[in-house]
Amino acid sequence: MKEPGKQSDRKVIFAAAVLLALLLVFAGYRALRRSAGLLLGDFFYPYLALSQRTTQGVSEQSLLLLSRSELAAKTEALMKENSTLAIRVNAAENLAEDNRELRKLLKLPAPAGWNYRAAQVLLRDPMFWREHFTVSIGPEAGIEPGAAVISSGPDGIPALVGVVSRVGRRNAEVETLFSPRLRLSLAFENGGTGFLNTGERQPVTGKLPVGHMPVNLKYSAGEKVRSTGYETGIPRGIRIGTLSTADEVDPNFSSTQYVTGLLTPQADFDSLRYLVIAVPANAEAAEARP
Amino acid sequence: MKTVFVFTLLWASLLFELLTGQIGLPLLLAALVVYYISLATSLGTGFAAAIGFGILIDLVYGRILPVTAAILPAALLAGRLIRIGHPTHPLETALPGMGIALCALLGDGVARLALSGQPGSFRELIWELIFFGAFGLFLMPVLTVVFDAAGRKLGLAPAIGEPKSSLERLRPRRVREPNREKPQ
Repeated sequence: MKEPGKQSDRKVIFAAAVLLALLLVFAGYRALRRSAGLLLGDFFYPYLALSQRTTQGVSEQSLLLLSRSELAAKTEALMKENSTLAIRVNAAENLAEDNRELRKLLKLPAPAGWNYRAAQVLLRDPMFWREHFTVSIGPEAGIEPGAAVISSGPDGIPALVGVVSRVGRRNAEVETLFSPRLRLSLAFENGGTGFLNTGERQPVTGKLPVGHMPVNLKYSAGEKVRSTGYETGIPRGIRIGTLSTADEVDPNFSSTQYVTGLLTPQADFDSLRYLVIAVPANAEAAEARP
Repeated sequence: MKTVFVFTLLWASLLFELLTGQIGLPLLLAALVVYYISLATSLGTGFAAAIGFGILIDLVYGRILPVTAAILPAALLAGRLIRIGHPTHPLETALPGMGIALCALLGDGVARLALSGQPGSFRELIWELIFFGAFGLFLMPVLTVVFDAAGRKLGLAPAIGEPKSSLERLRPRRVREPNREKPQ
């Protein structure tokens, strides 16, 4: 005959063992998440890169389907675009030279130089589609956490997508502007600054909350928002988005110091493929030194 | 051989999941494969596969919490509750397939709502539920037939059991005797 006391003991022990196992699994997950993610990313790299190579191959083959005259027309158009871009680069170099001269005269430190490394989106999480993704990088790219990830939108204007959060051997994880963990300083056209993902506003679909905007400045919808350069890995003046709305507060009748607003990002987060990662030039020089 | 077959199925579904994840399609095939494994082996193996597979997916994606490790067992449970007995025809897995797809998508939506900074669109979720629910209804019997065929080639027991003959039924059939006319 079964003893009821022993049976209930077994049930308690079983429940406790299950709870302990779940706790251990959860603790193991939290502890190993950082290293295991990158390790598994490297492990799955050949399989994921295979899909990249396939799509690239298909696009190359579709290009080969074009007739000679069409290819010639495309080449001519690209040559024209290249010459226009070369003129623009020349003008920008002249401006940079002027800037260096003026800084020298004013005895200001030289501006930070940047190099850019190409990267391709390797893995996107369907659950947190807009918040983080993994990019493939070269092992000798010299990318470090905090580096800016930039994409050029349909209009060709480079726009900030996010920041590198972790770096593996062949891949790096990127936290995008939509990630609630990413705090970023912003510069407005009116000279004011603000902080991304701060303040009392709740995020709206496709828009990001901005807080700590000084109340004494006038903000208008459609105002362009750029990076300030205060963060070590993000170049100054990169377009982040446009201001959609901002609180309207009369400073004469309110004791509040800051207002909040909503920002529409410039980058198209649904169709990210080729990206550029900014690397400080002096960091590279330091790496090259023996 | 059974273990190798189960691991091959899980591996293939993981790769498929990662590739479809690239274009933003939600978790679906993995949940259906785990349900098939629970039918072909045992419920315990199914739950173990669901938890292990979920943790692996979460680690690959670098998520803060192992949400898939909770969603997959819940979807498996939903599937097993819809059809408690062992299916004897592939079409009997259709309704559990729909339930699994709905449960996985709902879990996905809840996790997104709780952990994501971006609020999801409720209307979008409804459309996803309708479409992927119907897709699960169609896909699960197809997967069962395909996996069973592959398993049979390897000499493994299929997930679809043989229908019991009438003699093996637990309750005997009631046979009504024809009304006899009472003798006057």
